[in-house]
Amino acid sequence: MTLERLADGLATWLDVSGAAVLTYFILVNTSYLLLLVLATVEFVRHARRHDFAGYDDALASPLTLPVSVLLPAHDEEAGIVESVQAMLGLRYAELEVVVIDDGSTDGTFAALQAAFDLVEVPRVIATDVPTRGRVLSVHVPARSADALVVVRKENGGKADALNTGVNVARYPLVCTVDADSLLDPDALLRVAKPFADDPDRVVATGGVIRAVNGSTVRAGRVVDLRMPRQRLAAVQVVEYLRAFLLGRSGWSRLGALLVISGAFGLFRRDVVVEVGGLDSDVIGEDAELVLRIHRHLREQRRDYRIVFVAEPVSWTEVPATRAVLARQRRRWHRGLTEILWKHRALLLNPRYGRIGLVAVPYFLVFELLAPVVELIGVVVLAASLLLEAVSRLAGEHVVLVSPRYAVLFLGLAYAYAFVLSLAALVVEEFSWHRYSRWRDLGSALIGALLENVGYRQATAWWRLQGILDVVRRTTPTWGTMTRSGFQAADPVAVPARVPAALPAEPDATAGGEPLRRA
Amino acid sequence: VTVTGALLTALLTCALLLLAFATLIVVKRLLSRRAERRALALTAPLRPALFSLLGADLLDDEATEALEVLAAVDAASWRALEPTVVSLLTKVRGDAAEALTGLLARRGTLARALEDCTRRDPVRRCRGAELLGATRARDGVPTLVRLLADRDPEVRAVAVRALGAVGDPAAAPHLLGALAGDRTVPPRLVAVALVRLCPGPEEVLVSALSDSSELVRGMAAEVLGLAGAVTARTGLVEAVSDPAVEVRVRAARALGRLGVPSALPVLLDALAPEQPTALRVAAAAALGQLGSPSAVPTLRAALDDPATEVARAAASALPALAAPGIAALREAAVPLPALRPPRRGLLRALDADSGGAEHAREVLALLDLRAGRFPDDAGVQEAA
Repeated sequence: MTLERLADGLATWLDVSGAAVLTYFILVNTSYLLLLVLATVEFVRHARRHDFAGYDDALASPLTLPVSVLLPAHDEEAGIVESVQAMLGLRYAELEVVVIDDGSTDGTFAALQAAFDLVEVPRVIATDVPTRGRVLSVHVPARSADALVVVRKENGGKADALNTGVNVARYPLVCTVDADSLLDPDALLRVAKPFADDPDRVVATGGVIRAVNGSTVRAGRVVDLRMPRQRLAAVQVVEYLRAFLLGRSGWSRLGALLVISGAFGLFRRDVVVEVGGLDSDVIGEDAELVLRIHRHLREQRRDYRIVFVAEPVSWTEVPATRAVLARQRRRWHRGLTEILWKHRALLLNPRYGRIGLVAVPYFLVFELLAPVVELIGVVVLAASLLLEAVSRLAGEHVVLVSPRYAVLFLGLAYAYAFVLSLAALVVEEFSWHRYSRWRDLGSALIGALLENVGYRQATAWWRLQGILDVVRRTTPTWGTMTRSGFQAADPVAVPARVPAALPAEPDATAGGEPLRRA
Repeated sequence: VTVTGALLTALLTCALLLLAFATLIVVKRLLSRRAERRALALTAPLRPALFSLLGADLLDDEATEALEVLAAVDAASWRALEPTVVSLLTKVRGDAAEALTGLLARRGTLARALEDCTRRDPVRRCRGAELLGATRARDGVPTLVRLLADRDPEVRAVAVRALGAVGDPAAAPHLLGALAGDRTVPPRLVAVALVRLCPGPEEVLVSALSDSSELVRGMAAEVLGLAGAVTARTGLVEAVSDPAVEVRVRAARALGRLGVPSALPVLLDALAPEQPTALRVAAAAALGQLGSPSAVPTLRAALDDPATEVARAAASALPALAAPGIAALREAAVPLPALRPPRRGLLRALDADSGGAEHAREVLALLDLRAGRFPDDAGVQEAA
C-alpha cells in the first residue's frame, strides 16, 4: 500500500515535471520559431538586394573606410602563414593585417619571418586601450611595410592580444579574426557594407561563422563546401545553422544582437577605445565586448546599430571529438555565465531598452538555464520509462502506477525541436543554398535528428559543468570585477584568477563562439 | 484521454511538418536544377555571338551580325541571357559597352528600367536605377535625379551611385542637394559619385565651398581634392579658414592632394598648436605632399607634440621634404643615452608623450626599408 502510494506520488511528480519541461521547450522553440521567421524576412530582403549592393563600387572607392585586420596567434605554427596570406588577399579597398604573437612558444614567429621576410622596426604604439603583456618587438615585411605588421608580445591571453592589436591598428575599423578563421575573398566587403550604408549609426558588425569540416580548403580558402562525413561535425553544422545563422539574424533584426563572434567581427576602433577595449578577465571576451558597447551607448543615449551579416563568408573547423567539444562547450557556458553575472545590472532595467528588457532576460532564461532544464527532462524521461517497465514486470502482484504523460510530453518537446532544425535547413536551402550535393542533404537530415537525440543532452551536461565552474571557483572575486563597469583593464579590477584564454586551452582554436542557444 | 489525444495530435503534426519540410527541400532542389539546366541550354548557343560583340574594337561586320542575332532571339532565350548582358556591361568600356547598351535598348530593357524606377516596390526602383547606371545612358539622368529624393533610403543610395556611373556633370548640383534635407544619402557615396562626374562640375563644386551647409562645403573640398581640380586652389585656400573644423580638415587634405604651393602659409598656420588636432594632422600630411623644405622647422617642432597623431603625421611628412626633411628626422632621432638595453638599438612600445625621437626612428626605419637598406637583424634572429 505504502509502495503504491509512493509510486503514485512519483508518477504524478514525473507528469508535472514533464509538463514543466514541455512548457519550457515550447517557449524556447517558439522563440526560435520567431527568430527564424525574422531571419527569413531578413534573408529575403538581402537576397532581393544582391544585384545592387554596390560591392564593386565600394572596392574601388577612395573613401571606403580602411580596415585593420587583427589576428591574435598563440602557438599557431602550422597554419599561421596560410592564414595571413589569405587575410592579405582579401578583396578590399585598403587594409592592413596586424598579427599579434601572444607569447608563442613554438615556431609561429619563425614561420612568419621566413614567409614574409620580416625585419624588426621601431614603432610607437598608442596606449589607447590598456594592455598587460609587454610588447617585445614589432616587425614588418622588408619589401611591403604597409600591408603587414607582426607584433611580438608577452603572453597575456587573447583579449590582451586583441587590445594590443587595437593600439597598433592605424585604421578606423578593426576586424577581429581567429588564426583558424577561413574567410571568402569578399568577406570584408560584405561585413563592411553596413558601415557604408549607415555611417552615422553602425558601430559594429559580425559575420556568421559556419562549420567547414569535410570541405576542401586550399590556401586558406574554402573551395568546395561539403557536409562532413563525421557525425559529430555534421550535427554541429546543423546546430550552427540554426543557432548562429538564424538566431543571430533574428536578434539583429530586433536590434538586440548580443553576440558577435571574435572569429569574424568588425568594430569602429574609436568605439572599442571608448569602452576600454576587451576584458582580459572573462572567457567570452568577444560577446562581453558587444554587451559592454550596448551598455555604454545606451547609457549615453546614443543612436547606434550593431548588425549581423548573414551571408556565409567565414568558416571554421568545429571540434571533431567528444573531448574537445566538451571542453569547448564547458568554456562557452562558463563565459556566458560570467558575462551575464558581470552585466546583471542590465537585467530588466528599462534604462537599457530592449537589451535590458528582452535580450539579457532571454539569454538568462533560455540560454544560461537551458542545460538545467534539459537534464531534468532526461531524468524525468528515464525515470518514467523505468517506472513503466517495473510496473509491467511486477504485473498482478503489485500494481504500480506509471506516469501517464511524461513520455509523451518529452517526445513532443523533442519533436518540436526537430521540426525547428529542419525548418532551419529549409531556410538555408531557399536562401544561401551552399550545400548542393544530395549526399549533403542526407547528412544534414541525420545531423538534425541527432542534434535533438543525444547531442543536446550531452552538451547540456558539459554546459552545466561550465556554470558549476563559475559557481564553485569564482564567486568571491566577482564583486571587484564588476565594480568599475567599463574599466576593463583597471588594475583594481584584476582578480587573482587570470584565465589563460589563449594558452593552455586545447580548444582555443575552436573557441570563437562563446554563446550558444539552448 | 483528452490530454493524451491532444499530445498525440501534436506529435502527428510535428511528424507531418517534418515530412513536408524534407519534401520541400527536395522539390526546391529539383526545380532549381531544372531551371539552371534550361537557362544553360538556352544561352549556350548564343554565347559565341555575345563574345564576338565583346571583342569588337569597332563594330565590324561580324559584330554587327552578332548584334542582329542577339536582337532577334526569342523572349525566353532573352530572359535567360539578359542578366549576363547586364553584368558584362559593368565590365567593358568603349564600343563593346555601346554595342551592349544598344542591344539592351532594342530589347526594351532600358525602357523597362525607366519604368521600374516608377514602381511601388522599392527593390524594383533600385533595380531600375542600378540598370540605368550600368548602361551609362544619359537619357536616364532625369529619372535618377528624381530618385535622389525617393522616400526609400536604399533607392536614393543606388541613384547616387548610378549617377556617378553615368558621369553626367549636370547631375552635380542635384547630388550636392541630396546631402541636405530630410531624405539624405550617405555622404561618402555622394563624394565618390561627384569625383566620377569630374572633369566638368568643378565650378559648381567651387561655389559649393561657400554653401550654407557645413556638410556640403566639406564634401565640395574633399571632392575637389580627389578629382585633382587645381583650378579650385583659391577657394580651397580660403576654406582652410572656414568656421567648421570638418571643412577645414577636408580643405587642408585637398590642398595636399593637389600640391598647391601657395597653400603653404595657411597650412603652416593650421599646424599651430592652438588648432584642433584633426586639422593639425591633416595640415602636417598636406605639408608633406606640398614638399616645400620651408615647412621643415614647423614639422620638426610638431615631432615633439604631445598629441601622438600630430607627431606621427609630422614624422611621416618630413621625408617628402627632400634632404632637409630627412636631416631633421635624423637630428630628432639621435640615439638615446644609456637607458636602452645595449644589445638592441631598436625601440619597443613607448608612451605617447615620450617625444619625437621615437616617431623619427620609426619613419627612418621604414624609409630604409623602402630604399632597400635592411637593418642588421642578427639581434632578431638571436631572440627568435
